[in-house]
Amino acid sequence: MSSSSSSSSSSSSSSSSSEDANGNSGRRGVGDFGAPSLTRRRANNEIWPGPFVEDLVVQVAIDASRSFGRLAVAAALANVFQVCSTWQAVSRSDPLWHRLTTVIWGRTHCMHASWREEYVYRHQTAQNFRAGRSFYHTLHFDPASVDNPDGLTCRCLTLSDTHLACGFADGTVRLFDLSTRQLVGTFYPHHRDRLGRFSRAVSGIVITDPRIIFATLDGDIHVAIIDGEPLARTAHLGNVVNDGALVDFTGCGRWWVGLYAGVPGRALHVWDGNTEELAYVNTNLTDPEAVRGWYTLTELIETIGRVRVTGQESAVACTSLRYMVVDLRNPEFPLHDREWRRGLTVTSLDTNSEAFIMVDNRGLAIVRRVDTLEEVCRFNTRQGNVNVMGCMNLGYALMCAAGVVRVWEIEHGQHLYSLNQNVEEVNAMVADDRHVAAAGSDSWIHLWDFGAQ
Amino acid sequence: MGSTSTKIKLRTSDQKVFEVEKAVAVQSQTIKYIYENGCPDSVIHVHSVSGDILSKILDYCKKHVNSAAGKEDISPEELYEWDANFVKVDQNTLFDLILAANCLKIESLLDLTCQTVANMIKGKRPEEIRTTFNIKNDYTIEAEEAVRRENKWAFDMLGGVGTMVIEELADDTMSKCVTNTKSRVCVIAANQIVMMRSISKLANKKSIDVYKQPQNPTTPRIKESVKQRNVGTGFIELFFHFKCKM
Repeated sequence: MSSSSSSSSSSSSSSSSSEDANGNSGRRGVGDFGAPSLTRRRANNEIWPGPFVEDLVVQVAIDASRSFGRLAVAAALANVFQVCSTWQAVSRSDPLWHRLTTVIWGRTHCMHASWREEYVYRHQTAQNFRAGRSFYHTLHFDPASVDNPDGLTCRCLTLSDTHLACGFADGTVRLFDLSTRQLVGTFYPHHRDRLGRFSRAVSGIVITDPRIIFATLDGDIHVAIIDGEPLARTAHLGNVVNDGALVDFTGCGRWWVGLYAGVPGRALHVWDGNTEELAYVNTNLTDPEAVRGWYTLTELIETIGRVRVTGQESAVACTSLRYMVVDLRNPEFPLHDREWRRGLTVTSLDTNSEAFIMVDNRGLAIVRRVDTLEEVCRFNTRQGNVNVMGCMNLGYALMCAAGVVRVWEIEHGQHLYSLNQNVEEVNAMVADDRHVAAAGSDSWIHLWDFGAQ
Repeated sequence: MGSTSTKIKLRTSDQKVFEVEKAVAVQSQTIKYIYENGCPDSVIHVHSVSGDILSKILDYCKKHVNSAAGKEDISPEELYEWDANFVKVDQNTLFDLILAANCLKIESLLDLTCQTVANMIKGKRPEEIRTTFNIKNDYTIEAEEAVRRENKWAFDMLGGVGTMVIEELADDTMSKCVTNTKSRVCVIAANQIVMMRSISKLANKKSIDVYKQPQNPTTPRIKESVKQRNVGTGFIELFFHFKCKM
């Protein structure tokens, strides 16, 4: 390991090597006049201070990621490590790989033996997404176990690192283990008077190990333990008359966010995920859809609104006319609030940790940064006026229309490929950095696993 | 208040003494620590820094302290440009600045020099980086090989199209790789590339036998047979069996 040795420096008062920002002519000049200088043995590699080289590696990674994309970072780092053994020594530092994995891949939780392995895994998984290499599976459950035919309609999907949760129109939530792809849990909400055929339909699910939290259209929020009892505890009793129908529900560890339609001025509800208390209620985002909000309880209609959270404790919510970005720590003052004259396809909204994607009614998809609304890329899905179901992860966006799932990379908006499998009418689709899942109206769920082998 | 600001004396490795304002000197965490934990009036020795370099560093610290305190009317963009010019020095001086900033623990200067070096490295291969910074390649052949192999994953199929390299070819070599149809296979033996083949050309063939006639008599002649099988959407597993004549 290199240490910052206090070596005597050569103080050449005039250096005859030319100044060049690239330092390409870095040779020491012949005429080192001035004070007697102890010529440094320049080729002594041990002089480079270890912490400096670590910072340098992180900086090279960030630069490569910005210039060429996340997949190019590893090659840039390999070039640095091959320079000399001192520079290579820092690649042994697992904290360095922890920094790199957090900065480049946004992972804070290590699922492998070391952070270096975690980095390599994320890199290879992203390559698989790029190249379209995946393993396809179908997840099944027994349709005979379902009495109500609505129980076969999957309304929403949520992925975690270990599980896939599916919410159905009769209020059931089914949990699949991603490594075994088996059904490992079924959860039900408490019985309540129903206010309409779909009032118990699941609007959204949040997985925060070991809890699984799901909300139904009537505004109830239920909490269950993943390995525990099937009957979930009601954490929050909804009140349809006061709040309207809960059309979408999402969250991360710290916050739960619900989007309502039906009662003016109560569109966004934010709960503290730890205390389960309501933190904020307001905005008029869904006011124009108030009447339609009531219809969701009894009929299957087009999605009214969608809300998704980002990694920066903010949420993006949209209806077909307007979208809004809200800081969950400070929801009273929305960060952004925009209308979109062309009309938005609500089911195309999704977020990753720093950006969100939306497709308008003419098929134009735009990815924007959440904090500044700066456009990251745009592409044409060529699906104007067709119901497009969209999802995205850190580097890729997937759009499903007319049974075909097409994949774009979102650094430049380049179309990559279409998934080989044809999917029927898709009601819900979700993607994270390893899996993609889609559900239709039958009793099975499509799952693509892009994980590195 | 403080109309007469405190001054700190610094003595360098070549016995030069600098007297600077405290606010400027304590930009260095090391000097700050020594000053706060030692006798305030004595001279602080900075053994590892020469007079020239310390002078430059003190310029840097003064500029940043003044701009932060508002004593100098300089916009952030102008300060940024000043910083950029500050590091436009020859490679020796840059190196000395890095060492001194590391030793004196001046965070902002370390960041600046780090970014500068990163910019100089951008897009360069290892040999070019060594030339830029006059670094000796202290790898043995085996060690260099080991490092290359350790980092092979970084170069595999960048963006789905790339070159799968099969090296260390000897007679009767069996090699297996998992790749996709957009890649190429490159076979290296005796430090020469003896074959470069597109996998899509192999994709439809269960097995092929190729005997390559080399142009250069020192190039090994190889006979290869290839089997491939699909192992998932987009995956192909390739088995290579080489018969090689050096």
